[in-house]
Amino acid sequence: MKDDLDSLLKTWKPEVPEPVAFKRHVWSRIERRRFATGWPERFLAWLTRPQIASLAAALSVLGGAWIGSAAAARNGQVAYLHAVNPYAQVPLK
Amino acid sequence: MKKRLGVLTAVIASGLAAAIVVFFLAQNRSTPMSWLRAEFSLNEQQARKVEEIHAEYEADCALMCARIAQTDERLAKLICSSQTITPEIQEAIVESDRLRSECRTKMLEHFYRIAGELPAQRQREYLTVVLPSVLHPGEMAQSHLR
Repeated sequence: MKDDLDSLLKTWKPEVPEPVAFKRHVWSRIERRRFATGWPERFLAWLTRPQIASLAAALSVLGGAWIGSAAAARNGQVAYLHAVNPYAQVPLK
Repeated sequence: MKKRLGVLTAVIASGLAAAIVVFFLAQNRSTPMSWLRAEFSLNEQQARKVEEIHAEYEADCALMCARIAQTDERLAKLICSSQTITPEIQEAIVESDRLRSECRTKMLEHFYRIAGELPAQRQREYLTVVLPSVLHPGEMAQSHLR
């Protein structure tokens, strides 16, 4: 029984992939995976680059400040029109 | 992935925070006159003159407002105490309309006076902004009160 097993083991040749083919296979899988990810993931990856993230934060702050300022100006106009319109000051019952 | 979403959230939050801070800072410093001054790039002299005219008109405006409220109240009482149109109701309606016409005329007069103090190239722009108050004063009032 032991001899049979020994002879069987001697004849067994494990199928180890060829190193070059193995590497190529791994890289092709990585590439496939990279192109298979959707645009949100790619966008997020791009956004987390330090320079892009800093630029995006600066643009976001500037945009926000502009929107806040425009909204306040609009409110200022409404407040002015309210101040000069006697009808607007009559309390509604 | 969490880190990436964190960065995106931080970018959006910084924009929102900037918008809120700027809005409230500008809002706190803003008065009807400061809006007019900033919007129409008035110099010191023009701003002072416009403020004088506005202060003069403000007193008139408050008086007109009180008169409109008084007339409306009287009309409302008459309408509620009757089932038909009486001569008093008719008279009150006429009075209410007359008062409103007077208000519109005074408002327009005030706008022309203000426009006269603004830089020549901005006068039309100012009149365009205030025109709806003269054309549809009641509607403007409603939208302002909302």
